[in-house]
Amino acid sequence: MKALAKYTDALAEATLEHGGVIYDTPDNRETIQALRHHQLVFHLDEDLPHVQVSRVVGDLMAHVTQSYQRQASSGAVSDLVRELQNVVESYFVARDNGATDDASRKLIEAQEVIASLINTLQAIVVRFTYYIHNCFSTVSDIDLRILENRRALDEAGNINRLLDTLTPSYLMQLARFSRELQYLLTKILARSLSRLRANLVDALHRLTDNLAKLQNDKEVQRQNHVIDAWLQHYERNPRYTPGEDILDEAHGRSPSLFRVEPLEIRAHPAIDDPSQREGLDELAENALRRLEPGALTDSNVSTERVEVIDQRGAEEVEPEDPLEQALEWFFEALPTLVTQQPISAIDAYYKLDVEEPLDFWMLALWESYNMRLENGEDVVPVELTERQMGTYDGTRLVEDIVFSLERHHAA
Amino acid sequence: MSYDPRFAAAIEGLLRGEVLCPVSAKEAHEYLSTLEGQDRVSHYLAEIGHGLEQTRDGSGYYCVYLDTESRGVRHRIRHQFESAVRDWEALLRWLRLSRQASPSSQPLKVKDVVRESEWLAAIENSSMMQEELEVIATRFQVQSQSRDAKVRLRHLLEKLCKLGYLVAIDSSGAIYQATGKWSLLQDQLEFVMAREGIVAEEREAALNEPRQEGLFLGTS
Repeated sequence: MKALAKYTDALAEATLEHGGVIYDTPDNRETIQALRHHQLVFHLDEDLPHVQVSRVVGDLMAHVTQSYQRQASSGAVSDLVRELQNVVESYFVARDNGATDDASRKLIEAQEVIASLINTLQAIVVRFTYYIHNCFSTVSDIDLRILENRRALDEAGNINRLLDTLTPSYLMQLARFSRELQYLLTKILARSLSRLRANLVDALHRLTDNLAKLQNDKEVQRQNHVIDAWLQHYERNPRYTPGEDILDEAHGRSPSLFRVEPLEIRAHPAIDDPSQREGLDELAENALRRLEPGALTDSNVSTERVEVIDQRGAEEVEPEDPLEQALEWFFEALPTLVTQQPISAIDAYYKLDVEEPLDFWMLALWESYNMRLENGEDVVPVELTERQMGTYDGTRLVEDIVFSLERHHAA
Repeated sequence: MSYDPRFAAAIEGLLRGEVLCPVSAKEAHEYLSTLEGQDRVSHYLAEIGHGLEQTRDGSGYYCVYLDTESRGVRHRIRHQFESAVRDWEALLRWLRLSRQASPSSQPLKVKDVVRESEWLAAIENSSMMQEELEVIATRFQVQSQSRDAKVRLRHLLEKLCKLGYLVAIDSSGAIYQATGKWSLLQDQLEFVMAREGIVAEEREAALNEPRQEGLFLGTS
């Protein structure tokens, strides 16, 4: 006690300003020697140029100066709870054995442990309140702030879980039939625990909010850095485009650069399926919505209402091709006409007033004739009016196709 | 196997190249946030050489090519990269503009709400922001006959909706919400800037500081 009183300044300076160490300087040598003698400091390593102030002394200094550099943790609370259980157990053993003095001492001890427990919990809650209000402002790095906040949350969570076990029924069970212990445990301790619990839960919520805010701040910081860095880069290098070799480096590291190209999925609605009516209506509505306002009136598209009739299943007669029709008529009339005189394809072309060009008619007629021949139909003999082309040897120009029975009969 | 509309919506969205987030595809995102959903979708995609990925902030899911050795896939990846890179400057300028236009002075991120009226009020009060809006429109090749900031802003908002960065959340098209595609952009930009050694000026100055100090001390 005398050593503590004598070296208070040195110990306070060490615990509050030098992280709990006293430097081994010529000025401090005598102090260190005296404190070591009373086991108030110790050498962590003989090679280190300082001695470490003992933890109990540090805690005492922190408590006296109200600085919470070295704070009680959930571990300390847990130790105190265990200690309380042991003291209470010892009290009952002493009382049951009739050791009244020992029982009284254990009761005082229990009182001290309970006071210590309440005090430790209060200190922790105060520390959390400090964190919440300062948002770890003493720490400049945002990552470290997040880490500190997480630790505080873990700590608060641990204490909360510990307090879960100290239910009124458990404390009642611990106190058994001892009126003194019932008073200490179920009144004094239970009342304080209830109040501290409420503060702790509040602190947990606020710390969670703080953490979310810090994480958001960190994301914003990160995003701002990306925006500013890139835009400065674009200003310095206006034509900059990242090279494709980045993709080789990104392999296995940044999947964001390997995003798939949109896969176009085309589907055709079954228009006969009434269940797809809704989808079809939606498609039509979207298509109409895409048109610029007035697009329909500006174009030549009529906006008049058109009545739509369901023609599914109806039969529609397809108009025959005029050329096909003329050929049909020609071959139908040919057997009769040819009995009177030979029939020229060119004459027929003009008589039938065929719309297609003459060469089309001639080729179609020749093709139709050959097809009928192939089909084994009874056809009128034909003769090609042709002449040799002067320029190209062997090439013959067909001038007309004449259907005649005369040559057939002669043959 | 029975038909599961959430599975179908997730697969279809992913194959369309979308980033599925709580804003763009709430149900599909919820489904992908379950272990069962992730497992089923990953297995399905793996069979066609694709994989399921998540943005770093966890806000969105997207589909990637797994077989990056195939020539056809490499071509598609290159094509996709080239087309993404073309928009980067305009998107970054838009993010800087969002920082100026938002009441919190924070750049746009997933789930943020963009109210056309608020942005317009901020832009109309600042000639610098109007100029920036014009630059963004040019970079995006959003041509407009009108020099009116309102028309230009509307065109840009529509463009961003088309690109999947915003979703209109009211029928009049005056209120939008940011999607998880901004998170994907952030991931891409961060990777490329780290590879290319792109740093902001103040950070660059901080990195050079010890060397400059060394010059003064003559220890360089």
